[in-house]
Formats: sequence, C-alpha cells, structure tokens
Amino acid sequence: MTPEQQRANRRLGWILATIAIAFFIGFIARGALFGF
Amino acid sequence: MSAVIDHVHGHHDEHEHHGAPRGWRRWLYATNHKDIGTMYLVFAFTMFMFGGVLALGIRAELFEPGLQFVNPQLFNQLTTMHGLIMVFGAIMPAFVGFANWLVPLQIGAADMAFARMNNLSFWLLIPAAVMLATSFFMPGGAPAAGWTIYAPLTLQMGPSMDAAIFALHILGASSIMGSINIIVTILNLRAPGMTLMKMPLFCWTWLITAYLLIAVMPVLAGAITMTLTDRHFGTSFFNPGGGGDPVMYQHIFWFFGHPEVYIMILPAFGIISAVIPAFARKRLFGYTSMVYATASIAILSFIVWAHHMFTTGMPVTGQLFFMYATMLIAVPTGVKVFNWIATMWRGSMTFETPMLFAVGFIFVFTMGGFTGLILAMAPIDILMQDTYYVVAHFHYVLVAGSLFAMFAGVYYWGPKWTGVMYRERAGKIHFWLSIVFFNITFFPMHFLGLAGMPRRYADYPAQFTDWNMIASVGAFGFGLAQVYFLFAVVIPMMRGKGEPAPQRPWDGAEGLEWEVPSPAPFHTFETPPKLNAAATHVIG
Repeated sequence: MTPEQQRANRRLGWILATIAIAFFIGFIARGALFGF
Repeated sequence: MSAVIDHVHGHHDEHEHHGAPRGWRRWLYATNHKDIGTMYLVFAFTMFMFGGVLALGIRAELFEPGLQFVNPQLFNQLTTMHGLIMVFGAIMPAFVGFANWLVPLQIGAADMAFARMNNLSFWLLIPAAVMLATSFFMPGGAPAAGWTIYAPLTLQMGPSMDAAIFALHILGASSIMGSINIIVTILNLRAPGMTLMKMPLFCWTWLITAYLLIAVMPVLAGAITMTLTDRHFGTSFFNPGGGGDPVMYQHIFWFFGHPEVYIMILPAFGIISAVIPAFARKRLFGYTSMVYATASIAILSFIVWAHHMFTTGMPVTGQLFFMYATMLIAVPTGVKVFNWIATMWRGSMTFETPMLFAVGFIFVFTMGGFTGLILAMAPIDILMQDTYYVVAHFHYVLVAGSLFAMFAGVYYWGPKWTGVMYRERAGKIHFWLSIVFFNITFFPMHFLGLAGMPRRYADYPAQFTDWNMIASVGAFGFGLAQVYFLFAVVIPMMRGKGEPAPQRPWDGAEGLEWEVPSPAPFHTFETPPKLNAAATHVIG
C-alpha cells in the first residue's frame, strides 16, 4: 500500500467514524436537551 | 484454517514475502484478512451452536402444554438470549467473516484497509460473547426482556441487563469498525479496472450493508445508553414513572431494528448472486438492476420501522404510510428474485450443494417475504402481532434466508478457503436434512399464529399441542443436521481431509477469488493485478 493510499484510507476512515460518533452523541444530546 | 497453513509452507508464489506466523500468535496478533475471516466464521459457528442449544431448550419446553423443564422466567431468558446471540453473535459476525475472506480477494486488494483495526474488531467479540453467555449465572439470571430489550422491562431487570447493554455496546463498536474497514477497502483499494459497476455483487451488497451499519448502530448504542442512564443515573428517557415514554424506546429501537433486518439479509443476497450464475453457467441477469435494488432496499429500510408497532397506537395516516412503505420493499426484492430466476432460465444448471442451498434459499426466503407482506398490512398485523405467525415469518427470512445463504457460501467458497473439496454426498445430506426439518419446525408456526398462540410464553392451551409437538421434533432434527454439518463437512475441511480443490472448482465461477490457487495463499494481490475488460480475470 502506498503512503498516498494509506493517507486516503485514514481520511475516509476518520470521516466515517466521525459520522458514527456524531449520530451516537447527537442522538443522545437531542433526547437529553430537547426531549424526543 | 489449518489447510491454509499447510499450503503456505508448501507453496510460495511470487507475491509471497513470508509465510504465516506460527502458533497462537498467528491468531491473537492476526492482521491477515483470511485469518481474521476464519476466526470470525469459527466464532460465529460456535455462537450459532450455542444459540441453537438455547432454541432447543425453548422447543423442549414447548413440546407439550404445562411446565416441563424450565420456569417461565428462565423461558423468557432463553428466548431473549437466543435472539441476541443469533443476531449479534452468529449472523452478523458470520457475514463479516465472509467479507473478510472475500472482499479483498474479489476486488484484487492485498488485504483490508485497516488490518490492525480488523484484529481489534474481531477480538472485541470475545468479551462481549462471554458477558452474554455468562449472564445466565448472574443474580436474577440472564436478561429476559426479549431481544428487543424493550423499556420498561429493561428498567426492572437485574445486573445481567447491564452486562447485556455493555456487550451490545462492544458488539456495536466492533460492527462499526468492521464497516469502516469494508467501506474504505472497497472504495480505495480496488484493483485498476475494477470499477464499481464491475464489482461482484457480494462486494456491492456488503458496501451498502456497511453504510447501513454505520447509520444505525449508533442509534442502538444511543438507545441502550439511555436505558443505562435510566437504570442507574436517575434519568427518565423511557421510564413512565418519571415522565419518560416506553413507546419512544420502541420507535428508536426499530429505527435501528428494521435496517438491521436488511443488514442480516443483503450480504446473503450477494452470496446467492454469486452462486446461481456459477451453477447456471450464465452471467447474472440484470446486474445493474440488482445493484439499484439493493440500494433501494437499504433506503426503504429507514422509513418502515413503525410497522413493528402498529398495535402501540398511531394515527391511521401513520399506519397507512408505514404499511405502503413496507409493501414497497417487495418491489426491489421482487426484482432480485426475478433476476435470480432469469439467470437460471435456460442455463446449463447442475445442482451441487451450493446450488441446492441457493435454490432452497429462493423458495423459502420468498415464502418469508410473502408472510412479511401479509404482516405489513396494518389490519392483519394488529391480529397477528406477537403471535407465532411473526415467529414463523422472521425465521423463514433469517434461517432460510441468511443461514441457508451462508451454507451456500461455505460450500461454494470452502474449497478456496481450505484447499479441499467437501464430500458432495455429505453436503447433499446436510441440505436435505436442513430444508426438511426447517419446514417441519417453522411451517406449523404459521398455523399456531393464525390460531392465536402468542410468542414468549412457556405454556399454552391444549389445542396448540399437535403443531407444537411437530415443531419441536423438527427443531431437534434441524439441530442434529447442523451437528452433522460440523462433523461431516466443517471439521474434515478444516483438517484438510478430502480431494484437493482445483483453483476454480466450479465451471461457471467467475471473479478474482478464482484467479488464485486453492487454498488461497497467505498473501494475495500484493501488487495490484491487471484485469481483463470485465474485471473477472487477471491478465498480468
């Protein structure tokens, strides 16, 4: 795997992980702060 | 699998820099996608047998009316743990095992994008499985709130509920990491020439499944975290005593739960889409429509969740929306079934074991799909809610759907994984025992449900006895069929006992996984292969 590929992989991986974490935290925060 | 180890030391192709590590380090520190795939599959099969034993406990109790072996509380624990273990411990890890083995091979990649994270994803499963399995020995026994872990039952359970919540968090984290790995591998590491629309359908179905997982696993994690805070930190998200709403939990759970159903079936569609063309000796009919149908099913799966909740009370407009949206899923699913049949049409078909399981899948999965359509209709669902008709429906989808597809996949790719052919006679015996006993077990449940027998009860009125007896006999027969599979197929193949498998054991099989020797070498495609125009063969 080339360094460019590794960078691209990490970038996409972080984007996807951020989406998952945002869903998790955002979901609880919405329920806690504003109710459902 | 040991056959792979043998091969590695007996064969060194030009890509191979070093062999597999030896001993326990090979597995504990595994970063090779094939080794991790094997571990996932072995883990999933172990959990499948464990969940199966729990199911046999349920069926033994229901063999006749009255309480024979377990009390109602333990019965509820058995149904809950059977569901949790089969969904999160068996089906999902098994498909991740298939993905680990096949995605890099099918797209011409050297390995998964994040090899160490892949190792972590697998090893996280073990503590979660131990926590789930040992929860039977905790004070108050295992969780007994059903696999859906509905509030407010979850607020009344003992410490095992905390263990189950923690286990689900870990399993969810593992799934999300696995999904990220699969998406990045598919999007970034395909061999030159392997465009998305030339990719095998198994990769397509897993790509879409991985997006589904990333979207809905955090929702489940959020719901069970809120359950945890309701239990221990004084919040009242779902606790009606503090102003919370248990029905909201159901909405949240099923917003995860319905896409989860497709998470468990889309990779199965991918396997069937590989097997049928191979044994019909024809290209898959309607490849493009298959891709769009898979995506359509995934999108629709987000807007149908409340069909699980028609009896909780909702406006008629809401019922109509969820009813019609659910029925709409039959369209892309019908496209798939049509395409599989059209692929077989005038093909030079042979019926080796993978094809038997694939054709069996189409028959029985379609029956499960039809009962799903019936349950989608709100007026009927209100009558059938929580009856054995629902139990029959989802077992037709998940056992005859997901499990039969996995069996098809094991027989189809097993020679590539292990380097030996299974015994065809043993495979056929396994198929016929499975499909006959499966139907003996679950078909009578339609009658029981229509007659009004509710699920999740340890006892029942005498008029339900005959069909329950038949279902219990079928369940034990089905269980024995899987023990036969273990001893007659799985163990011999893992030990390398059998005819050596050629590189391409099936005439009609196409794809890059058949371009490497059997068993697949420890390292494959370390330099990106040059592919033909259809991206099915390596030309340099």
